Amino acid sequence: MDLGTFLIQVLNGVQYGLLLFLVASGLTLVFGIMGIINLAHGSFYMIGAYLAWSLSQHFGSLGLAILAGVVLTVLIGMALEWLLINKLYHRDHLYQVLLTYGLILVFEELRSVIWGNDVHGVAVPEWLSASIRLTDTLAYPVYRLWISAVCLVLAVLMYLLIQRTRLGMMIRAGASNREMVQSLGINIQLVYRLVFALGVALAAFAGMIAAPVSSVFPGMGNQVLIICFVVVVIGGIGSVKGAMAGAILIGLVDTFGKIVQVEIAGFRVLPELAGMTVYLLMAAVLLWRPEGIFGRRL
Amino acid sequence: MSGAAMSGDVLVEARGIHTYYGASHVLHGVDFSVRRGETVGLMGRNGMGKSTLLRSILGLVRPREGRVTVNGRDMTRAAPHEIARAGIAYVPEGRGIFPNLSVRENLMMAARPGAGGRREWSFARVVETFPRLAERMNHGGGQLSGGEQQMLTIGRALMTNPDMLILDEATEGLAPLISREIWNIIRRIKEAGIATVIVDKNFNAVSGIADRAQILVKGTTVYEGSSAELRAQPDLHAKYLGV
Amino acid sequence: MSEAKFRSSARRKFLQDSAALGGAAALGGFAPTIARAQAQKVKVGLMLPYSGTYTQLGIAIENGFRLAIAENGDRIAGREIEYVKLDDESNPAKATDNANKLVTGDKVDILVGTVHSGVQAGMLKIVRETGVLHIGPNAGLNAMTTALCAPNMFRTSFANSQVSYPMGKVLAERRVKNAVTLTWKYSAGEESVNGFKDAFTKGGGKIMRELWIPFPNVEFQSLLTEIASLKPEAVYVFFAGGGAAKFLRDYQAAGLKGKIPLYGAGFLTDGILEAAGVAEAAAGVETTLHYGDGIDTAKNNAFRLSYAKAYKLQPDVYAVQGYDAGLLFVAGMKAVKGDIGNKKAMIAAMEKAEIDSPRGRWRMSKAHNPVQDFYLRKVVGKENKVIGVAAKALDYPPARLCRMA
Repeated sequence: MDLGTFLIQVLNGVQYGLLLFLVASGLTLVFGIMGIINLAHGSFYMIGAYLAWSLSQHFGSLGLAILAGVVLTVLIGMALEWLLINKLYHRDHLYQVLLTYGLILVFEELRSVIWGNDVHGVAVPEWLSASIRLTDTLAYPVYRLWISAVCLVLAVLMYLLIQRTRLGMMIRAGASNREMVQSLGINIQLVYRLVFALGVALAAFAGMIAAPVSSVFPGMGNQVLIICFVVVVIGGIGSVKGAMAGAILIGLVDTFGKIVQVEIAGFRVLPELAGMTVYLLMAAVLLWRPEGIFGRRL
Repeated sequence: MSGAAMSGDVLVEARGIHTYYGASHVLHGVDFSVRRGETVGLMGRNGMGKSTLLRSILGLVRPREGRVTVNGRDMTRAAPHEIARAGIAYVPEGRGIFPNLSVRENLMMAARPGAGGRREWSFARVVETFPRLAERMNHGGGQLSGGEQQMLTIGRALMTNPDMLILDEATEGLAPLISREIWNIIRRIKEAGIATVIVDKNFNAVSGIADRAQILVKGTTVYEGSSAELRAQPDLHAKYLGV
Repeated sequence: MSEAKFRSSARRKFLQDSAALGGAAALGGFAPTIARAQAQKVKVGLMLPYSGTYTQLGIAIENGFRLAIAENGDRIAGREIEYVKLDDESNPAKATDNANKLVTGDKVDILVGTVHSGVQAGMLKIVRETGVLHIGPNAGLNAMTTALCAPNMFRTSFANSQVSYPMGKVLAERRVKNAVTLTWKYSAGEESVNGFKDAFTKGGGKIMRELWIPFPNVEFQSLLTEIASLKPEAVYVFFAGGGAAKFLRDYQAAGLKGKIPLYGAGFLTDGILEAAGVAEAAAGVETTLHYGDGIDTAKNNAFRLSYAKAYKLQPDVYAVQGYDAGLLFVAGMKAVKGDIGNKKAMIAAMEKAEIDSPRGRWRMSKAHNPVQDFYLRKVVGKENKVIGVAAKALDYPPARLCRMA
């Protein structure tokens, strides 16, 4: 592999990682702050993608579709927290897993009823549809670079929100002592509702901006969910910084795992094991630091 | 003095409180009230229901029977944050600082005007009251010593501009020198006109500062009167409080 | 009331007994028993996906099967057909239980299904254990007609390697020197690549790299970068459904379209050309399959017309496979005059049947897989236009891999 190809592959890995971060950050926030294991998180990614598809047909513009989609998913998130999730705060993780697994089935069925089971493509907006030619055979789609930029901007915004605003302080305080936060006159219920809605909207937003490059298809959320759990576990459960590190790491390992050929004693090890590289990475990280890279000591 | 209070003076009033933890009946119809600016010592041996009474008033546990009013408003079923917003601040046993927030953030996140719109306790005034904290503004809450943590919790409670402060075992586990500092602070709070409810093992310190005292035994009130009167009856002290 | 009930159940018992005797009776020429046995309906078990990703495929297969039966007037060799439908959910974990439910529970005379290879593998276990007649209308796992072949098992679709072999053959004939392959790392993908590789290397081509991606991952970007740096003369891929649509669009976005020609098994471009941007991305891609658009034969035209009339839908390759499963069943039934209990004769007839299919005439190989023509197709607009025959009467993987041959 020459240097140019290597650098392009690094770019691929980082770009994939940034998108994963967007989904994983919501998962880790909801777990870290609210203590809720949300298996349905991937479903919101799928819902986002389907919304991007159906709303962009309705509005004729992906930008408008994303705007409307974000508003809609924030509302869905708040309604879900109000109707279901807040019943789980004092329950065992088993109940959370049962309920949110049930939600996966409900969302899949609803998706099937509302949008059907077909695969759909979403067109890249005209002004982002160009590709930048890098070599005589390879071009880089501008839209992918745009996704990376958007993910980075959101990551910075999220950092500022959590570290620099009063709402962020309340959110972090809620993660350590919920009762005390209430006794200071803060409506923790409302804070949690916002955090859950934020998590839902992040996943859905990721699905929306990924729709043009990933297609829109049934079951797409479950694929993302599994890899995002790996990201969260590697990065440290509840740590947004960890989610970023984990996501970039997974992005790079997945990318190079698919293309690097390693032979041991005449047997091709990679890419025969490409599907396992991220899980091997997870196992290695957990042996080294059971709480994840940025996790608090358990 | 007792009974002379006009109802308009009453800040917090709890009537006939029955509270259970699961099947165990902890409070058996306790009455408890605090007037504006008044300091009340809540006494009793361990496990007699002092903390449970405070938590019942704060909405953190739900009494099965009884009624709690704050400023004449019924708060029996109100959420904890609504009760806090009615003017009651809480310094819990074990302090309850947020270790993952810096000292500054611990204070900032609590800041708000009081129930009547009062803004006496600004960030600057709290820092002035606790000069030790000023030096440690950017440290994590978890890095502070026990005494500093206690000051931070009290400072944080003051940031909410409360009408009443509940101090549950505020000096527990602190070195005598630090304890004295805390008592001085409590005195200053009293002078500032904030009502306080104090639970503490140091009988002399509590009865020295409190206007009134109430003693709980097994979830019922066995004494209610002025601190001075209680001090004059060492037999009561031995009977209900001695170890 | 109770007496009537008793009588009717006694009658059913008698019929069952006589049905069981059917085989022996036929040998002894005991005609009246046969006549009574045949008054009973023939039970056809349809084990197909009626929910999930493959729902449409399941429906197309059932539609095709029913159409073939309907063209014979709903009664075959004098016997009425009763369908027992079961949704297999494309769930391999439930496959053996589901198949068992139909075979030993509902006692179907013939089991038809399914789409998903993993589910098919589970079904085959029951089919082999019970010896029930079986027609596979889609799943292409090679093993079904090689290592696991059995007399009571037939397939009316294809073997995975059979579809890709013609593509390798065509590229070798065009003197393409090297190629890169890319597919999901699972058995269907591996079998597909192996078929392509076999024909391509036999014809003198060289495989530069075999690239894999875990199933059902669709993040292709790094692999496309790798292809661009390898610069092969051709790229062969096996993807289907949503993954295929995404791959085609990514291939275009990565600037590879028009630089390095793309080839695939027909599933790459089947059923997805209606999705936004896919037809454009896929334009010019050549694939091989046993069906395609623009097969201008009387049989195909008639089939397409009556299918569209019956279901208000355009038929696809899955409908054809279901239709052919129906034709095969009818051929067997006619040969044994409706006596489906005479399995031996039924199997012999199905082996000999020549299926006049919309895809063209074909017969069973010794391994019970279709010996059929494969078309070379090119994406033009939203169609997979047939532009030639890539392989004539192809028997692959060779029937000799099956011990019946």
